This record gives sequence, C-alpha cells and structure tokens, in this order.
Amino acid sequence: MSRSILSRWLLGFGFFLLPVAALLLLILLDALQVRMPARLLEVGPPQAREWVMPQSAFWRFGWGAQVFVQRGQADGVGAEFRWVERGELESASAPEALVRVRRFDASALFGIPVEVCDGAGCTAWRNQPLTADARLRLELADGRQMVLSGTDIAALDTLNRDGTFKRLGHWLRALAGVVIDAPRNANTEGGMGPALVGTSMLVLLMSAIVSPLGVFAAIYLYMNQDRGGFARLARAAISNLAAVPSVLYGAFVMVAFVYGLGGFIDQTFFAHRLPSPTFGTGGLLWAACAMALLTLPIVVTVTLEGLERVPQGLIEASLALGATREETLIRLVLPLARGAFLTGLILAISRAAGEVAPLMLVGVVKSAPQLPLSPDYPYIHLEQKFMHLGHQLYDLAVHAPSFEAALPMLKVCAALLLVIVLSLNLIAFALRARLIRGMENMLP
Amino acid sequence: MPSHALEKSLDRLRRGAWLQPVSALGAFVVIGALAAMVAFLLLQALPLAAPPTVRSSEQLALSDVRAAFATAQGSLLVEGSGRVSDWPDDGPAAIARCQLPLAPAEAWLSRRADTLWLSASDGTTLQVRLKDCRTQVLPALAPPWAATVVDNRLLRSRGDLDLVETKAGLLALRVAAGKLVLVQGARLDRLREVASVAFANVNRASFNAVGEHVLVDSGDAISLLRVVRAHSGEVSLLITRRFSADGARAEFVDENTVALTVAPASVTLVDAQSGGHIGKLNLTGTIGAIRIGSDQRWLVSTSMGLTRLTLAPLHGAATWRSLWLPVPRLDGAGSAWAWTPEGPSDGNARFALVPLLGTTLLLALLGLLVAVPVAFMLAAFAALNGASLRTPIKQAVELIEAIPSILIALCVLIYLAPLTNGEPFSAALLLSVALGIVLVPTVFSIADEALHAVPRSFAESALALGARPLQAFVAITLPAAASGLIGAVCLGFGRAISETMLLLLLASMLQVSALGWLPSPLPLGATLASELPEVPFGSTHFRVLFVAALLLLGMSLLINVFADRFRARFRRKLGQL
Repeated sequence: MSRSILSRWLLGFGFFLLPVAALLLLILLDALQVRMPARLLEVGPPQAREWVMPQSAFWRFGWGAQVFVQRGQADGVGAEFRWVERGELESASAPEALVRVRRFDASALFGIPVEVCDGAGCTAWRNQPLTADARLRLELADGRQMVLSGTDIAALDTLNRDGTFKRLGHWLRALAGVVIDAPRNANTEGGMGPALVGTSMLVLLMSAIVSPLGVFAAIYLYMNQDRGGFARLARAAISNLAAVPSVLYGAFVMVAFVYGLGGFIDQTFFAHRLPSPTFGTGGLLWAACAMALLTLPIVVTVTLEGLERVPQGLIEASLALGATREETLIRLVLPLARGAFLTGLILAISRAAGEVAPLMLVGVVKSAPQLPLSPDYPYIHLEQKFMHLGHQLYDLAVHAPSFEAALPMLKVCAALLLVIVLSLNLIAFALRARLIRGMENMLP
Repeated sequence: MPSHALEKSLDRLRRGAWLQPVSALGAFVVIGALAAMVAFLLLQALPLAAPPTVRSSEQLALSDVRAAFATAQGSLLVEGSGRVSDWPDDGPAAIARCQLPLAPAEAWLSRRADTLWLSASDGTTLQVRLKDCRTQVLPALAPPWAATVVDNRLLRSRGDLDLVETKAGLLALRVAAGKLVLVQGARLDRLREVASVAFANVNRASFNAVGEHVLVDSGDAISLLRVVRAHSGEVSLLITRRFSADGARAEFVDENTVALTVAPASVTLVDAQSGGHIGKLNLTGTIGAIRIGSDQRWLVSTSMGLTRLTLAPLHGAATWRSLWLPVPRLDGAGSAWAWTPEGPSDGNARFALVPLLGTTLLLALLGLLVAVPVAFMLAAFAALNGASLRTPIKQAVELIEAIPSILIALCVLIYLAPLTNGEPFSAALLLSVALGIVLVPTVFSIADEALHAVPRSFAESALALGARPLQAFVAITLPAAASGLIGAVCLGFGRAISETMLLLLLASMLQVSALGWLPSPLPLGATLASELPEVPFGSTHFRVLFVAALLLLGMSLLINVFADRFRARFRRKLGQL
C-alpha cells in the first residue's frame, strides 16, 4: 500500500470511525478482563488494615495515580468501593489465607475462614466444599467474625492460593456464567441467562409475526410497482413508519393491544382470574407485537430491494415459457430473493435485541420470577413478563444501588449485546453481498 | 357446468391467483398500522378536550337543603327544617336520622363523619353526635364569623369570612377598610395580617380545600385569587382571573376547579391554577348552590330539588391553556412553564408541554452540531476518493448505525464521562458527542447518496477546465447536491428528536436537570418512556402524555415528509440537468 493511500485511509477513518471503533473495542476488552479476579491485597497499617481487590487484574499495567478497588466488608460498613494510591497497592501484601466469599443476595466479602460447623460439629477450614447446612465462620479485616450460612454462599474463591491455571479456570467459568447464570445481588452479579432467554423468545415471536407480514407487503409493492393509489399509500406508510420514534410503538401497543385487545381477551377467556389481569398487562406477546411493527419497515424495504434485484431477463424468460405472473413470482423471484428476506429478518432481529424504549411500556421487567419458556404446560408463556438484554443494561445503569457496583456487570452485559448485534449485522452484510454477487453472475 | 367452473378457479388458484389478495393484506397491515397508531394515540389524548359530562344523575325531591356532605355510604343532608338525613348511594330516598330544634344556616362535618355542627343565622351553634343525635349548644358568636374543622373539633373565629387549615397553619379572610385581608397563624388567637388586596365591596370570600386559591364575590364581579408564598416566606394575594358577571355565583368544587354559575341552568368550570376554561355543564332546573364535590360527585340543589351527579373524569389540571401558556409561578415571581407531573410541594401537578418541546429541540440541535460536520466531512471524503474508500467507509458507518443507542450512551458514560468534571458545559459536550455518534450514520448515508447521485461528468468537466479536485467539489458537486444535503440534515433532526434511551440514560446519569440549562429534565421521547409505564390508566397525566406522544409523532412525520420533499426535488433537478 502506497503512503498516500495509507494517509487517506487514516484521514477518512481517523476522525470518526476509528474513535468510535476504539470506544467499542475498549468495552469488549474491558468486559473480557473485568471478570478475571485479581489477588486480594492487604493495605493500611495493621491496626486499621483493609482487604481490598483491585477492580482489574491488570491494574499494574494501568495508568493514573489511583486504583479503584472493592472492599469486601460487612454490610453497612462504609462504601463498597474506593480509590487507593497506586504506590500503597504496589507495596501491599497478599495473605495466602484470604478468600473471597461471593453471596447470593449481597455483595462479596473478603476474609479468612476460621472454621466450618455442621450437624457433626466444628472443624477448621481446609478448603473443603461447603454443604447447604454448613455454617462458615469468617474473620473480616476489622477483626470481627461473621457466621455465614451455606445457603447464602454462592462461591468461595481462594484467589491468593490459586496458581495461574486455576485462576484462568475461574475466569473461564465466570465468562461462561455470563450467558448461563441467573443474576444475583440486585442484578449486579451473576449472569444474563434469563435476559438472554427473554430476548431470544421475544425475537423468535417477533420474527414469526413480522415475516409473513413483511414478505407479503413487499410482494404487493413489487407486483404493483407503479400503479394504484393503494400501493403508493403503502409505500408512503412504510417510509413514515420507519420515521416514527420507537417509543411511540410502545405507547400504541400499550393502549391498542394491552389495554384494548388484552382487556377483551381477559374478559372473554380469563374472567375467573380478574381483577388480576392475564393478557391485560404487558407481556411477551405484546412486546413481540410492538417489535414486529417496529421492524416491519426494515423487513419490507430489504425484501423489496432483493425482489427488485432479480434480473428482468429471467422473469421475461419465465413469462415467455407460459408461466403466469404469480407463478413466476412464486417459483422464480421469491426463491432468488430468499437471501434478501433473510437479511431483512436478521437486521430486524439485531434491532429488536437492542431496542429498549417500547419494551418499557409493554412488559419488560428488571427481574422476572419465571422464564417465559418452561417445562410446564403450555411451555411458552405468552402473557408473562420477561427480561431483556437492552433493558437490563438501562436498568443496571440507572437503578443499581451504586453505579460502581454495577460497573463490571454493565460492561459484561454491554459487550454481550455488542457481540450479538455486531455478529448479526456482519452475517447480514455477508448474505447481502453474496446475494448481489449471485444476481450479477446470473446475467450473461 | 359448475364443476368445470370450480376446477377452473381451483386451477387459477393453483397457478398463484391467491398471491395478489393475500399480499394486499400485508400492504393493508402496513397502512393500517400507521393509521391505527394515529387513531389510538388521538383516542387517548382526546378526553382531555372533552367537555364535562354527567355520567349519571339522581333526583331527590327535597327543596330546602342547607348543607350536604359525602360520606362513605352516601350523602348526609341537612334541611332547613332542622332534619338531618342519609341518602344512601343506591337508595331512591333519604332516611331521616335526627330532628334538631334549630333552623340551620350552615353546617360542618368532622373528618371522621361522626360529629356534625350546625349554626343558625343568629350565631348559635349546635354540636350533634350523629350516632345517637345527642346535642350540645356552643356559645353564640355575632356575625360575621367563620369556622373550620381541625382534628374533629370545630374552630370558630370571630369577624372572619372563611377559615381553612393549611400546612402553614390556619388561614382566614377578613374585610377591613376597603381591603380583603389574609390572616395567618398557628392558633386562632394568634392570627396576624400577612397580605391584603384592595376590594371596594366583598359579599362573600372562600378558600379552596387547601387554602391556596380564594374566590371573592364583590357584587359586580367574581375574582379568583391565588395565595402566593415566596421562598423567603413572604405571603401575598394575587388576582389571577376576574369574571364580570352580574348575579353569578362561584364555588370551588375541588381543589383545582371553580364552578361558575351564570345562566340559570349552566355551570362553567374553570381551572383555578391557570384560569383556563375547562368546559360547560348544562343542568336542568334553576341552580341554587353546588354543595360539595368528592371525586367526581356533586350535590346540586336546583329548583326541582336536590340532584346528585356523577361526572366523567375532569382533567382540570390540563386545559388547552395550561398545556401551552405559562402559568403563574408558585412563589409569585412571574409566570413560567412547568412540567411537574407529581406536583410541586403543594400537591398540584402541572403539565406544560413547552419545556419538553424546548428540551427536545435543544438536545437535537446539540447532537446535530456534532453530527452534521462529521457526517458531511465523511461524505465529502468518500465522494472525493472514489469507490475504493467509499465502500469501506459506507460499510463501517452502516455497522455503527446498527449499534443500539443505549450501548453508545453507556460507552460514553463509562469511558468519557470520568474524563470530565460535572460542569454544565461538559455534560452538554458528552450529550452532544453521544447523540452525534448516533446521528452521524443517518446524516452520512443520505448525504453520501446525494453526493454520489451527482453525475461524475459535472466535476470532470470542471477538472478538464483546470480546477483542482477540491475546487471542483466545492464549486460544482456541493451546490448540485445542496437540496439532498438539506434533506440529510432534516432526517438527522428527525432521528434526533426520536432518540429516547440514549437521552434518558445520559440525562439521568449526568444529572443534567440539576445543571439548569435545560427547560425540563428529559425530552419528549424519554419522558414518555420513563413516565408512561407508571401512570394510572385514564388519569390526567396519562392523557397529557398521549398529547406529548401525538406531538412527537406529528413532528417526526412532518420532518419525514419535508425531507422526502427535498430529496424528491433533488432527484427532479438532477433529471432536468
């Protein structure tokens, strides 16, 4: 590559695209390292010692005079996070006996296990697995001892004793937990499992609703390209639907579907459950309807574009062989434009995965007691409230007890959403490119 | 042959004749979705403008009712003959409860609805225990005197026109030397003058239930006054509205609504806060007095007897006037627009859409300030450098367009916000950068399309004449694409006003409302997203939010149509060339 082209690339990408890409890359890398546990360190004079964990395992390579650390103290003792001078941290020791106790419904504790008691009596702690009825006595940094029940403890990590491989294992398990686990401690720890299930269910239902509508609308516009006020009206409607702010889809579905249709369904079929609403309140089905309406213009536009790309020569050949217009469309044009429809659907799915505003009005919640998918009849619970990846992100940032406490989870959640959206879009890109190439190759 | 016809039509169906009607259904859904959206939003907003209507009314043939109260079971009536009776909610007739040896002029009921006080015109007061009709005579006062019930006790004060208990203590109205005087104090014997306003003649003066508005009947006119409390603690009386109507009567029917009876059988309802007109109610018979309003229920004594009305919900706090015009501020310092749906300290909600609109436009402008130069520069760069650069730039921008705006907001919040110090300027900068990143793809793709549509031959002929590439671009391509570029800015603006989550997240996390440079804490879209999930269905707040939704919808559609116009004109112009 010559120097002039390189400088042009830098100029063209440098002032907007590269910074934005860097910002996104930063969150990806940050999310990867955020779950990698650092060593627990002891700072401060012996009489006022503190056990802290730097928020990044790579804090030694960072910059800035201070490092952000977590303080695993008992509940209600000072802030959970604070800044520590870098020098103080560099000279700190890492006592081998220190462990991190992760709890289900509260923040993590840093301490030294003293003994484990169960029905058979108490024994000194020697890294044995904890049973549910066991009680762990833990010494905290301020010298106090705390008794934890086995049912409260999510995991006990001997971070300072573990070697590199064991810690790598911790890290991999934590990364896997992001997609498998249920959230803990007011959504600030654990994983995104339910949110992923909720998002997938939403996207599946939305696809089921939007696919036929979008394809048929696109076919209609393709068949009636230049004639008919109705087709012109439909074209204008699609352009305007695409311009409607997403939150208004939520408002519309809320009054028309949730209160209107949902209220009617409740009175007709679920009268025995009233006054507690079944379909008369936000739920998965209504959210999918809102998302389907929201993504309808995308599916129609992209599908129509694909239909119009089919070479005219092929269509004329089919007509010349005696096929009707409709037969040509069904047997020839539609199969050729299948990729375009798929592209539109993927773009719609990527939009639905990240769109939050309309969902807030039609049934997304910060923590759903049950998954919309369960082994109980009827298996898919259309009326249930659900969790959504994008909304989880918003809720964590705004409603978490403290922004710092939610930060690791926020980064992980944001990176997950980013990976999903980017990969969906890259697939759509590749599909579209292949489609265009295929059409071009079809011409003599 | 019918079977032949059937076979023929089946064959037509097999050959795809079904496709046209079925696909028309899809097109119909698209049109229907937009139409239904407009219709449903309108349907939810319209009740705000509906006139007050009577849902149901019940008549009772009692002509001499002096006082009436709403109780848990129905209404408690006091007749001029001294009879006290119950009118149950579902009953056709009143059931007598007590007969008292007095012709009452006025009556008060304790909050627990267990004790009633009656006063005769000579100042005698009777206390009645409703359970067993046991009476007790209280010392008489010389008129005029006023009373109010505090802690199930009757407080009476001499020389006052009306007395009310408020958060700030007791308030009373008094007439002295051509003035209406407002007195205030913690106890009846410690009332002192806090404000006054000149009135030549005062026939009647009364507070609303929370002592915040005053109605004064001065014979030739009825005035609506406001008790204004400045931050310094100073109290003053401010005339907000004057109705010059002979023989009119006015009464508060709830904290915020004044009922003005002018014609013999029509009641005009006025919003006490803004003085705005809520609507007119036509009743049968000559109206004597409107007694009480509890929720939407009124007891009206007419020439035909007593009527109990149930009204459709009144949206007094959101008249057309108060949605758009500034209303007097609580502290008396002029008028202002306010969006305080939960109500300021005194419990009165205010809904002015102007601040929301202002914030929406201001933030959109901030975003465009960043997005338009960046997007135009990118588009110009792509146009100047041919397909080898244009394609990757276009694809990269498309990829950025696909990223959810909430993710961009979060990245800015996590990585850029710590670099700034929470000053108003840095918050504005962060907001405009984040919004700018979201807007760039929209503006870029339209601008790029416009620049690309200008035939290369234009620039090439300039190049042939000896112009440098940049010169040819600025002098030839840019003017040719001008209307397309304006269309790009329009669409960017449309995208900016419809942005919701990014602004909701950033505005609440950067606490911009505390910085004081925005007219309201959130723009239209973000207000809808954050408030609509929580408001009760059918409340005034709910209805006003749908007016806001309609406003947002109208703006987006208008901008879209406008941008389409520009792009169509651009294409036409190129065609002519």
